[in-house]
Formats: sequence, structure tokens, C-alpha cells
Amino acid sequence: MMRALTAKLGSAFSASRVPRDGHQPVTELEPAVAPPPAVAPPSTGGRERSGWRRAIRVIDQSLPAKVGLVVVAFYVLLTVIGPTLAPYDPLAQNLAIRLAPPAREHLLGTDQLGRDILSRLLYGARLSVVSAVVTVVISVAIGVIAGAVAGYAGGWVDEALMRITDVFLAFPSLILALAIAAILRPSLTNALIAIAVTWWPTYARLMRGQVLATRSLEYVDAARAQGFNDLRIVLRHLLPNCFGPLLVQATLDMGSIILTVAGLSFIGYGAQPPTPEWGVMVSEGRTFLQTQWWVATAPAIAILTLVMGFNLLGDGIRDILDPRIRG
Amino acid sequence: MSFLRFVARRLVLMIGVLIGVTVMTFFLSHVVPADPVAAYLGEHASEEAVAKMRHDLGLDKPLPEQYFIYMRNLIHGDLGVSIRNNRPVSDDLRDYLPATVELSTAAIIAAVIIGIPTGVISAVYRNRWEDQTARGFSLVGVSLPVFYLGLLILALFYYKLGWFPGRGQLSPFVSAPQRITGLLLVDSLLEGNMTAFVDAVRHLVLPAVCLGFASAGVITRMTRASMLEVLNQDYIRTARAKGLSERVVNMRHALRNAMIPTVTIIGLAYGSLLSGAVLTETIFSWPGIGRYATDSVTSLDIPAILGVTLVSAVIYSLANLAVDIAYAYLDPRIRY
Repeated sequence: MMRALTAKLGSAFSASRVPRDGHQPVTELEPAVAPPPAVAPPSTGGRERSGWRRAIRVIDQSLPAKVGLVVVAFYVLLTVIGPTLAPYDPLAQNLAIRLAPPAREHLLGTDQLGRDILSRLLYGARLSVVSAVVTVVISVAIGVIAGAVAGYAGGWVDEALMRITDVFLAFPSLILALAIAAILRPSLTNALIAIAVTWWPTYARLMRGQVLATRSLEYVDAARAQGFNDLRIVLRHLLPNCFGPLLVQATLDMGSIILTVAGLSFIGYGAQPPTPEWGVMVSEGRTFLQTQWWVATAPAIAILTLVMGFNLLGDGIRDILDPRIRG
Repeated sequence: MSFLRFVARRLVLMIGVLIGVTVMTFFLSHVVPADPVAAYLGEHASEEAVAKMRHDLGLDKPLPEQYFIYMRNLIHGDLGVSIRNNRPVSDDLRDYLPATVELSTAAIIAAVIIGIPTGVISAVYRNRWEDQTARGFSLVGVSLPVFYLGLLILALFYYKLGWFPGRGQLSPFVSAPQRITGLLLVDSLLEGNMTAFVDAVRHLVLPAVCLGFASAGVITRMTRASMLEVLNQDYIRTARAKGLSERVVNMRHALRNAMIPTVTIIGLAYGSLLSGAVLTETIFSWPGIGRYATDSVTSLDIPAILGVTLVSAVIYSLANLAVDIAYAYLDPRIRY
């Protein structure tokens, strides 16, 4: 649902600036997302280093963003070192100790096959974070290209591309993912493809709106007057200024995508057992919720905290970029 | 642009989107599967049967012609035949859709009842503990996996406390009302069958709260954001300066103006609930289209799952269209 809402509302998610009709850019009413200069001074072009330092300074201003960043950084760290921290093999079964409650030997207990839940969670972190990152990167890549082309070219190209985004936005991502699972058989990869297919239009619209808002600014005219070609103008002068809103959107989407992937896996059409994916783990623990609550609850809390981390981080960055709606 | 021209333009665009949607489902049904016939007949079918099936399904014709036939069938309400039970998919959907409508409607009502007051309180008591609590609630609302929430709700209110019935739409001992609209609540009322009505309401409570929870979080955020924006306006200062009470200012002046974006969110949220509450329906064994979709995938029933896909895309687009038109009506600035 969040995909649809943000696609409609722009990443600012803020009240009075609801873009209607995809044909009209978000920005024609009033910039829906932070005005470009708030993100990076345009004149210097791409200076990634100062951008990063700026990003850190920006995040330092907001408590929710800081909390979110810490949580997200924690899980990202786990994707790298989680498997080495895991005390047990996540797939090793030991029926003698099945459904053991949390204790010294198994800090989060064991599941119905006697597998160590903590180890499974640690391995699962990599799966959840990496699949969300991959999906977001694919969606952003397609969306940015489509949006930049639409916004920069204008005319019938713009019209055609925006109509195509309308069509893709019409599909609920979970249902489309189910359809693709039926046609191509269920797997995590197919689930991610299905999600990317329904998610890229959000970025296309966002990018297009940003390009429309910035392309007639003076510094772009100056670049054009200098005789730079279109590709260079888009890459060096327009794209850096769209970075902020895209970052906010991508961060918030990470949360939604993690939820969608876990949901698909929960009903059996994403990652397949015995993969230690968190949605699969909740599903396997569901029968024991009354008696051995930790089996389903541990992975559910992992999902909840990771998604909260991304939401806090995304909200925090957005609030900083758009002080008008700061809470 | 006048309102009517705006509506006309949106309708034309809508038709374009719907055609695009059918191209997508056509692509998924005719182009993507390695061999649709194998999906129908299984892998061990004789060559003769395969050839006959290909001919019967029109798969030996060129793709544009296949699409034309596909469209012609769609226009006549023919979504193909379910592999599972050999019934027309459209009949199946007619059976399953009302349960989803009932559930989504109840869920959105629950979300509004929870979300709007929470959002108002949050904005009015900005940055105090009330606000922090409300924001925490909405954050959890949008971050909690709905499938785990469903399991928790069932564990607590059904297994442990026994306050509400668990799964399905009706208890086994209650006789279902005659099917008139398909909506259980409406049908049982029409029939005057109060036992069924009460039972159906009791069955509806838990899945509706579960499904509405995330939307409540979104509505809270939206109400809060638009209330804060409105509370900064000059006319609110004027109202205060006139000596109106805080309550009158908040309710009559602020909330009313803050409602337009909130209503938009509610409309969009309702549209997305209607177009498939897959997880909630699965957990609560709710016989709606979301559950029908998962059952179809289990039995690799491609015509059925694509039927659901198409119908949910259409429902979702129509809901969006309705929201757009309502919004343009309420706020003329939108019409450009």
C-alpha cells in the first residue's frame, strides 16, 4: 500500500500537495519534495565526498534519523558479519532439543527441528537486507532512467512513459508477485522481480518531477550554453539534485519491500524452506505461537525493528530536507 | 480546466490504463509461460491432446490475433476457465469478491476510527507525550508485519480469551442466509436472520482490525501532518484571536480543512485493501479474492490467478479514479 500512496503523494507525503493525475508533475503545484538547493549546491556538479559529509551532518540533526541510522547500520553490519557470529549452523537439525526455550546454549531457543533460532536470524539478516537492496537498486535504476528521459525529453516521449508507469502502478505488488510465482514457480528471485516490476514507477515519477523542476533553472541553462550534451547535463547537473528525494523514497521503500518479501515467504511464495528467511521462520513458528511463542516472535521482532529502522531513517531525512513538516 | 473536462480527460486516461493492464495480463498468460498447454494438461499429455489444446486455446494463431480474441472474451466477461474446478473464473470471482469487499470496508472503518482521532491528538499536543505515543503507534502500524499481527490477534482474542471466533466468515452451526448481494452482513439483514448477522459481525472484528492496523498508522500520519500544516495558517490565528475556544478552533477550523488530504489517503488505502488483502485473508481463512489468489497459485491455476490480477488492477484503478475526481471536486486548484 505504501508504494501506491507514495507514488501518488510524492515522497514528501505531506498534506496539501497531493499530485493527482500522473501526467502532471508533482512539482507544478509547488515542489512536493525538498527544493533542490536544500540537497546539494548545483554549481559544483558531482562531488561525492562533500555529499557524504553533508549527509552525515544532516542525519545528525534529527533524533529519529539517528536512531534509524543506528538500527539500519546494525543490520547492515549483520549482513556482513552475521554468519560468522552465528553460534550454530542455521540448517543443522537436532530433534532431541526441538522447541527448546531461550537459554544459555540457545539464546533465542530452537525451532521445531531443533535449529538454533539466533543463528537462523543472523543468516536471515543478510537475505532480507540484500534482497531489499537489490530490489530497490533495480527499481531506482529503471525509474531514474525512465523519469529522466520523460522529464528531459518532454512531449510524446514523456506522455508515453508516464502512461506506462500508470499501467504498472495499477497492479498490487503482492498479487502480481503471486501471479509470477504461479507462472515461473515460487522462488525468492521471482518474488524480487515481481516487486521491482511494480515499484519502479514511483521512482520514475519522482525523478521526472525533479527534472521538470530543475531543468529550466539557470545553472542548467548555463551548462547548455556551454555546449554540454544532454546526457552530461542529466548526469552531472540534474541527477545530483534529485538525490535527496530519491534517497528518502528508497529508504522508506526498503521497509515496505522487506515486509512484502517476508509476507510472500510467509505464505510460501517467496523464499523456500529451509532457507532461514524471516518470513519463512514466522510461518514455521505459527503453529507453536500459544506454547513456544519465541519461534515465531523472534523473527517477527527482527522484521519489525529492521523495518522501523528504515522508516525512522527515511522520515528523519525527509523532515530535515523539508523543514516545513518537521515534527 | 473545467471540472467536467478534467473528469473526461481522466476517464480517457483510465481507458488507456485498462488496455495497458490487459496487455500485461495477456503477456503473462500467453507469452511468459514456457508452455501454457503443459500447465493445463500436465507434462505427460499425449502429443495429440497437446495439439488439440493448442488449437482450442487459439495458441496456434499469431500473437496479435490471440490478443484480439483475449480482449473480445474479456469484454464479454470471460476471464477463462479455472483449471482447478473447471468453472469460469468470473463465476469464482463473483463468489469470492463480496467477502473481500466486506472485510476491506470493515477494515477501513476501523482504521478511520482509530487513525483520525489519534492523528488529531498527535497534532494538537505536538511534541508532548500524547504526540510521541501516537507517532510511535503509527510507526509500529506501518512497520509490523501484518501476518504476525494476525497470528497474535488470533492467539490472544480467539485461543486465549475466546472473545471472538477465529477463522472464516460464519460459525459452522449458523445457517448462511440466502445469497442475494453476496455480502453476508447485508444478506442476513435482508433475510432478517439476526443470528447469522451477529455471528458474521463477530467473525469480522478480528480480521478487520488486523487488516486496518497498517492503514490506521498511515491515516494517523496523514491527519497529523495536515493538521500541523493547517494549524500554522493565518485563519487559525484569526480564529484564536477572535477568542474562540481551542476546541472550536481545532475541530471546526483546523480538522475540517485538514480532512481533504486525509480523505484522499483513506480512499487510496481502501482501494489497495480492496485489491487484495492476501495475507490477512490467508491467516483468517477468509474466503475473499486474496485467499482465492493464493489457492490458485498452490494449484498452479494460471487463468484464475491472472483473473484475480486483472480484477484487482481494475478495482485499484477505479478506486484511484474515484479519489482523483473527488479530490478535484473538493479542491479546484488540482484541476490545473
